[in-house]
Amino acid sequence: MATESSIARLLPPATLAGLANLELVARAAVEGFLTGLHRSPRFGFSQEFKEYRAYVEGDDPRFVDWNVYARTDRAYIKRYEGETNTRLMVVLDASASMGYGSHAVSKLQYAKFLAAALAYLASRQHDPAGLLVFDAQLRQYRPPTGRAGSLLGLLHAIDAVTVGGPTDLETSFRGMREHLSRRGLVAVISDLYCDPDSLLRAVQPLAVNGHDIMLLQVLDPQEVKPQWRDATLFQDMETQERINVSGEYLRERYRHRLDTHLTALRRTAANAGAQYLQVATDEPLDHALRRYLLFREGRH
Amino acid sequence: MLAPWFLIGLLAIGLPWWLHRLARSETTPQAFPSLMLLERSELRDTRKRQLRYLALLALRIALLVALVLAFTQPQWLTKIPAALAGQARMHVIVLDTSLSMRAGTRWQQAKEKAAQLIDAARAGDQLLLISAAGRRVQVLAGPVAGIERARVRAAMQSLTPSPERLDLGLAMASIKTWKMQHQLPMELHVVSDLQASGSPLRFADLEPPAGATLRLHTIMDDNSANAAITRVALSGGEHRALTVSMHAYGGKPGAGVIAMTVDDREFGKQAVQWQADGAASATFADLKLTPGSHRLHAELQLSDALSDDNHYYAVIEHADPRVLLVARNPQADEVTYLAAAIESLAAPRLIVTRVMPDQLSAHTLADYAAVVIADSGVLSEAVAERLSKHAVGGNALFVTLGPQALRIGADPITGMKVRELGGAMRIGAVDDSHPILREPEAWRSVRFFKRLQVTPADGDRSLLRFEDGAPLLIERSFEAGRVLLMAAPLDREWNDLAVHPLFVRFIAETARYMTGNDAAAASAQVGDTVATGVAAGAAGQIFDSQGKRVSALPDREGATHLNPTQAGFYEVRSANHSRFVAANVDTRESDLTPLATELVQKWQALEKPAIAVAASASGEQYRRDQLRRELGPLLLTLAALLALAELLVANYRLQVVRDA
Repeated sequence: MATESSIARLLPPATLAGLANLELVARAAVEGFLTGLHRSPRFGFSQEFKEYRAYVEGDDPRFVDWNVYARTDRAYIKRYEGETNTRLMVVLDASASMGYGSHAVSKLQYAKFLAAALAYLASRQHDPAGLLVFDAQLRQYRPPTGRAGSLLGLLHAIDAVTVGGPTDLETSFRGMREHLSRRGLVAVISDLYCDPDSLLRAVQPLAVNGHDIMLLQVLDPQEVKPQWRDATLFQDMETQERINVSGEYLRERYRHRLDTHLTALRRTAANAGAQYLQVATDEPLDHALRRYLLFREGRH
Repeated sequence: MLAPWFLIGLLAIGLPWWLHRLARSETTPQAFPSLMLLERSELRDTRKRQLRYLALLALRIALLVALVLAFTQPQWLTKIPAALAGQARMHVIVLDTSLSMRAGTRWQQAKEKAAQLIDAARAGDQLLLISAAGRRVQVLAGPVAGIERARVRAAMQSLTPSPERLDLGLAMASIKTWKMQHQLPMELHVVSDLQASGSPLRFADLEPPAGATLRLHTIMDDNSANAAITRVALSGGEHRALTVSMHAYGGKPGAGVIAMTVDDREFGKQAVQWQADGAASATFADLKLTPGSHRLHAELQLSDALSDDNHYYAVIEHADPRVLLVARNPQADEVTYLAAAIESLAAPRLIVTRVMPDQLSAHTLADYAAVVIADSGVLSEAVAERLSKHAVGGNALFVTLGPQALRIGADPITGMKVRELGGAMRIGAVDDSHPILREPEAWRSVRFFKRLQVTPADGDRSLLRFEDGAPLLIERSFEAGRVLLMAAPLDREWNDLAVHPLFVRFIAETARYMTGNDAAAASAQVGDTVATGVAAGAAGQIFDSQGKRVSALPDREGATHLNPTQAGFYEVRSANHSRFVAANVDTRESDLTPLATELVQKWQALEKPAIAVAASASGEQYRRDQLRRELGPLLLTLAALLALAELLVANYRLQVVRDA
């Protein structure tokens, strides 16, 4: 079992990127995060331990606490808050813009780490987890399942995601609705390069249907604070369009425009009833998870 | 800074500056997730970018500045000790390199004296070494500071006396015309044997430059006895004789042997004796020459102070006994008069061949010693051009004008315009220094009834003029040859010259003159400019007596002129023929007698006060206290180091860009 220090060394994104096994990445991130929390009594997406109750016929024998049974010779079943189960659906943006990375970890790679960590966390709490991958349209769907061994398949599916074409949030989300008939948690991991109104039109129907929506915006440090000092010719990774941008704009006005955009996204998310969290790809994964869960805790 | 106009090269700094700004325009696009938050910028924005690679730019600019400054020949002014500053002088050392300095130990003495003067210069002084001989008064070294005297000394050591003559007045005049850049008081040292024959016609020409202190360093030699051959002349009748004249300088009588060589073959030797400061001559009789050009070399076999003047070289064009007389009517009176007068000459005895102009093509002009044209107006353009070329090649023409020349209004050979001039008149002016005009009084009795007017060009010599100044007989040089133009026919309707007692002697002397019977006329002096007879633009080569090819004068086209630098024969080869030019040393250098002491003292007294220099010297005092140091080599070294540094930095920077 990894020690605290060794796990901590694994958590920087650049180090995680060196690990070929996404399961190992997810486990290292979650375990490191849990270690950091000092076994907080309250964690999880929706299911939190509440009490034991006596086993009655018809209950799922998987939830029998066999340790208690061994000590007392009676069968008890763990009871959790939100017993009705929250289904986790990871919605992963695999558009071309997600392939950008100014250092060892691209945005898609970081998004995959996040998705794997969330799936691992859900699995650890026996919540079913699924996967939706999109760019201009829905590319992949893996239904949520809580069966034993399903985690590995999910992680493999996440690992196999590659960058695709341009983004079309509205079209993609319209396609997702048929797969999100049951209410649950929808974690959208994307760089959200879209018009805020378009985001509203994409997300709001899901919120109306009772889904708990979490928008995780992944940005590269170079996008947040460009390091170019001089005029530079840029090429759009999705449309291949090129424009020449002055150094003055990159140094002074870009940041203001980005802040305006992010504020608009945040406001749109609030209007749509979704939660919004921005993460940078140079942020340690456990920090990102901690912020995510604390954010979730604050909501409840 | 000796060449400040090179500073314009500093404008080149703009190039690296511009390149450093322009070269930074990125042409490789940077991938970016989305352009939705970016704005397209104007092009001018890219030009405002800050300069990067400042170190590299600074090195490149420094390299350019160093190179430009090196080309401006900057000088560093260094302070010299104050004790020396006030006493600094400009020492101009004029070293006599004329022929007479070869006599005895004069040259050795002169070099030792010059070396003493160079060594005596102090650190703050300036030194300038000048050689003077012939028309060349040239700077050999300097001006340099006294501490760099080794350069001046080295330049002096490589110097040798030339075979030319020094005119002291010409040397002084040349030095005075130079604009001296220095502001120091000048001491003019003349190291010379101060020959009496070197003094100018006007004593005032010896005046030194204003403000200069003249210091005469006379080189004396006990052995000043010298003898020289002064002339070789051809004389005699059918069997000719050569007369060699010599002159002895110095105080005692002497005797020697003169050896004569004709065309490199010894012809004979004659003993000769002379009195103190006297002349003597030797005659070599029975000289039988074939027609053509011959080289005469007379040598005085004697050991005296100066050996160069014991040789005399001459080229003699042995006169063919035929003269070509070109006339429209060979039987006309004028032609008869001319032919009879020419044939009356006893030595050389000439035979006249009369031809009409249209028969001239059947004759080779080179076969005739002289060509006489009676009334040049009868010549066609082609014939006139042929005769002109003949004259340019070193031959002589005697041309008379007449009614035909008046009809066409010009002389076709010289191009002079011809028109009728009314009024009978007699001769008013006779140039009796010319060898064909020995009887000026007789000319004044010749009567002219009708006259023709011609206008001489610049450089033409009017030998005879009427009382109203109109020219009658004109001599014009045609490169190596000459044309004598008589602006009147020998017709009794026009004048009575043909029946005048003067006529036969005049024509005979003219024929003698034209046939080059005087050997002295066929030799030049070292340093002269001599026409070679090669037409401008025509192919020609000149070889000296050692057979080495000689360059023609740099400002002349082709080999038209020669400037002999040594005594001997020069061979001029052109497409049509080959001829020789003889060059001799100036016999005025043979007289080694120095200037009289009184004259030297009088020369010293000619010093002019230093008005201008004194005034400027007080205002430019600081200049005296400084020594000039060349900074060019230092700047070039700096430029090389900067180039190396630029290479290293550029390599490093380019590596970074590649990695990026």
